[in-house]
Amino acid sequence: MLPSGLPERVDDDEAILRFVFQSNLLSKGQVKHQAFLPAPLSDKIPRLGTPVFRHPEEPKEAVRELGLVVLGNRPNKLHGAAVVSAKSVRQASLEIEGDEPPVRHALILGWAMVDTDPETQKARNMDLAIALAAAAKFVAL
Amino acid sequence: MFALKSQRLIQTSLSGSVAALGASAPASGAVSPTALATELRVLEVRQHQREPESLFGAKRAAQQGLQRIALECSVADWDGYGAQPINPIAACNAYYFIEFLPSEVITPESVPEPDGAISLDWAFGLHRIISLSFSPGDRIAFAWRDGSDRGHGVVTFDRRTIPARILAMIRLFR
Repeated sequence: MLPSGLPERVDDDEAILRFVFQSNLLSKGQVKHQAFLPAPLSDKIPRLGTPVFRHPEEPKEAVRELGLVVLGNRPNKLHGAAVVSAKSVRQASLEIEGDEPPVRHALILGWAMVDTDPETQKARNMDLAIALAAAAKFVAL
Repeated sequence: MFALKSQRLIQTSLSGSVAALGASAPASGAVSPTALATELRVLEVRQHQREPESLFGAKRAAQQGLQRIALECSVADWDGYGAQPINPIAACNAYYFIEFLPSEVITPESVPEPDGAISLDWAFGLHRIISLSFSPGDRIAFAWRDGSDRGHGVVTFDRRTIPARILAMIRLFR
């Protein structure tokens, strides 16, 4: 059991939130796949991940509160959250793991790593991110 | 004021792009920032001469959109998750790509990427999209989805000729 009380294993039915703090990652009420693209998790271990949060889509006020905590004192604005089920993440050939702290934090893992060809790695990960975005719903906050 | 800022961005981008462009520069000599800036101005004039105002305007609007996003995302952590600033050379490459798109092709939407690259997207709903990712080099990573069909790949862009494979896909998606 994690500090939040959530089980370590992310259940297929759990909602996963990717908060959006940049308007250029949205278009026509949908989140762009670029919002899901991964980043290196550490300089030492070459692994890519996308930080997300485990929280139901409702109540919106609680989602908004969590989003504001994640935002902290950055100058960005909380626009909303892309909501996707853990099942959809796995259907996109990716994995999701609880990663607390912070509370409810998780990582989307399983992104392509091609050390010898960064563009091929990028293309594969764009393909995966497009699949995730297609399964996501944007909730304005 | 904004146009001036955008122009400066491209100028700055061009100045900063010399090293990267070295690899694709003509064998006859190096490309100086001044030469590149001049080239860009010549391109603008030529495009204006050969295309109707409406098409010229569509491309220009797409390029201005690209410049705006490159400017807005030119600081670290622009996405709130530690994103890298948009690389000006990557923005330049995307700018050139729009420049050389055939007139009849729909212009793309620019989208920033967390690793400092910038995308040009042709999106027709959630399940029909082509996305090209521009980095500082001369290779473009791309991915596409059309309903349940999807794919990805890498093509080379010489800052002049739109890769035939990409052009065919964009035309198919019209």
